[in-house]
Amino acid sequence: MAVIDVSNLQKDYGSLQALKSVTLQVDSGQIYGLLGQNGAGKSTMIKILLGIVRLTSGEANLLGFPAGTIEVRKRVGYLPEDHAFPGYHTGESLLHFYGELYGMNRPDRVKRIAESLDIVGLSKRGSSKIKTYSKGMKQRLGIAQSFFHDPEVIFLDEPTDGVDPVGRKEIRELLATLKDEGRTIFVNSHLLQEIELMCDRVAIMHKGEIVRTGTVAELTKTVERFSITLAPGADFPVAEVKALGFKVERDDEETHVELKPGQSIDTVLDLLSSKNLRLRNVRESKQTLEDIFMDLVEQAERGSTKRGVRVARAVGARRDD
Amino acid sequence: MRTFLAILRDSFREAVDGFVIYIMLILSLLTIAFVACIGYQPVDAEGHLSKSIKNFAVFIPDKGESTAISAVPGVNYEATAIKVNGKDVLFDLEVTSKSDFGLGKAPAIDPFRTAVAGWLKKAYKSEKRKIPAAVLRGGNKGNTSDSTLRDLEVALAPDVSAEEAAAITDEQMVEFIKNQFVAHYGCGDVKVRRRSNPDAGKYVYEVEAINLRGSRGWAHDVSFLHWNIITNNDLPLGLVVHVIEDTIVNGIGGGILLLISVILTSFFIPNMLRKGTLDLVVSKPVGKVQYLLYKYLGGLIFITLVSAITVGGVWFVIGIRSGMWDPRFLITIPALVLSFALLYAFSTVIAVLTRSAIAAMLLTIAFTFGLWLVGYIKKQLDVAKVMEEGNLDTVSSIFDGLNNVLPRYKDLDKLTSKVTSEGAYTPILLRFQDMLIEPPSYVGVLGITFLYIVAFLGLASWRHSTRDG
Repeated sequence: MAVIDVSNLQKDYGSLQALKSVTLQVDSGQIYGLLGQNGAGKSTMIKILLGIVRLTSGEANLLGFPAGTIEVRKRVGYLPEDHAFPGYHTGESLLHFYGELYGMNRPDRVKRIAESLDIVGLSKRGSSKIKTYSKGMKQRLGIAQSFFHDPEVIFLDEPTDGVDPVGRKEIRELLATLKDEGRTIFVNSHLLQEIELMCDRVAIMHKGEIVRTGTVAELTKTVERFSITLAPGADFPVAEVKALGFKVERDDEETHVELKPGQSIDTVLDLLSSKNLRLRNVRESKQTLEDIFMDLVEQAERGSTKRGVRVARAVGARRDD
Repeated sequence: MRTFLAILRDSFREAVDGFVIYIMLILSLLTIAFVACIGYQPVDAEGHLSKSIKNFAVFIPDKGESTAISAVPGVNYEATAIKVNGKDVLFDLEVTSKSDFGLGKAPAIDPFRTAVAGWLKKAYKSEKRKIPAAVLRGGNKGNTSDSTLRDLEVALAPDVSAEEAAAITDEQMVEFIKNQFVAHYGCGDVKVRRRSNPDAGKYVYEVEAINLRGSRGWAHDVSFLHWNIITNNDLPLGLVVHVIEDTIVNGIGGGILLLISVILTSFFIPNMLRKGTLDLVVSKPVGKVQYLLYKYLGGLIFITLVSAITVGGVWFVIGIRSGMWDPRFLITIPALVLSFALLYAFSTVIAVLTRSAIAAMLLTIAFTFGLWLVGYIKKQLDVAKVMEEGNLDTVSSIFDGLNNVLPRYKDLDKLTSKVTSEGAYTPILLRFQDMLIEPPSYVGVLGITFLYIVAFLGLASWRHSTRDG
């Protein structure tokens, strides 16, 4: 059974459609990444799952129950984006306050708070006022408060925001540990590299729609691509390579050849050799998640532009009539 | 309960961190210290007793239980052979009972016995009586033409027959005199013994009044630190203490306390609703409305503590300085809390609608001032109506209407003042007060105020629960 089960979820803010018929399933024990630009609808979806925001239509279930119920929230941890902890608390007192809201008894709280602050590297500053914390420390505290009460599902909205590279690595390791303990972790981020490094599965969201889902490996292995540099003065035979069925793109320094399934780069290299074109460099460039993401966003943008043009044309035609 | 206590502790921590509680406690201690600096010194027995004992001509029928006051002409009270022992006073009370009605004839009925008989009987039902406006103003008795008379609801003294007067016993007369000490001085520990006297129409009593000079009806000089500020006066201690309780503590002090509380607590709800803070809490297993209402209650409990410390402290120092320990003054604590509950509920609605502490603060202050202004103008119009000063019917009905539909902020003050006066005034003074001031109804004042609190919180809860994020 999916831990998170969302189908045809829609959220409107007035005339703005923040989520457009989103359908998504997340299985137990995964680190699931939701990737998207700012304003894509990632945070809205998490907030609906936690009952902070009400859905317009569709269905959202968490741990087998309708999302947002009090019972479900007891079993969930959450780190919001742009969180603002009350500065009058210390790290410890804040966790005690939240622990009481979760119904934890004092001995449990004392034990779990000490452990959690130690895990995120804040044990020495637990009794300091939060207003004295740096941004990175607040982020670590935010992560601690998301898991200290032993939740089954943890939602993290931009968890590495404001954290230095060492801290990011530690957070990735912590998430891996939490995953090993059997928890499901749902991460929202616009930092592609972070998602690529920590997530088992990824969904890419653009303008309120899920445009692609899959494992990182599945998403990044879709296209084989080579970058070729010729000796100075040599001109790459673009037309002839294209005639062989390859997709070719050029920039100032390199020519990029994209292979379709069943094609081999040797065919291109043989052609260059037959034309006595001397090679300086041949490099296989594996697509990163960022390439995939940018391609998808561009495709989506082109799609929407085309739609816009079509609409504009239709409107213009009507006016002409 | 655990959730409520957690949120309460959170609110307390916020108040402590923002120095809110320290500011409030300092103000509270300053108020207590100010009141503690006020001293009360009983005036000399000789002069005051000779003057004030003459007021015994006025009595309260129905053994002091009636709402009416009455007087029988022809009875004169004199204090002689006055001895003072600390606050106790021993003296001879000479009651001269003569009534010739200006015709030089012997009285048909002994006026003193008539007064005692009237004191034993129930008063008649109330009726309208013409009272000179000048009397109401407490001023010039010469200006009492018909046009200045004003209808007031008064209870009438009972009629007494000659037989009833003649049947009065010595014991009943002694009880009457003892009760007069309660009615006029608030002094209940009095030993009265009739001394034989050969003169007709004259009664002599040996009186030993314990703590008479410390009683609430005894005039006191008032000092601040060691400066005398009121001396050689006839102001009873209870009246002075009530002015301090009602004006300085419930009036000015309460007003300042409420104003500062409104300012300081106006940040609580908007801080809670800040982006990034609310999400953290409402993602926990606590309802949005529950959290809002608990935060509201947290603010209320905080003010209850401050009010209890202030009013309790003032009550204690007044008790120490004056010997008046009547607990009815403590009603000021729930009254202040109720006033604050109304203002804080309004502040909560504004905070939820605007999410701005500044808007919540300024609009709540404006709301408070508006309610106070309506109450104040209504009070002035009521006085003007009694005095028949000008034709104010239209304006008066507008403000009566406004006062009826708006929360009774000022009326709550009046009710509090009435209750605290009952703990400070002598019974005779209370009867005069009740004749002149018609108190608002408890049901109306408390009912409307509670309705507004519920309506404000209901609106805030609805908006908060239906708002995304």
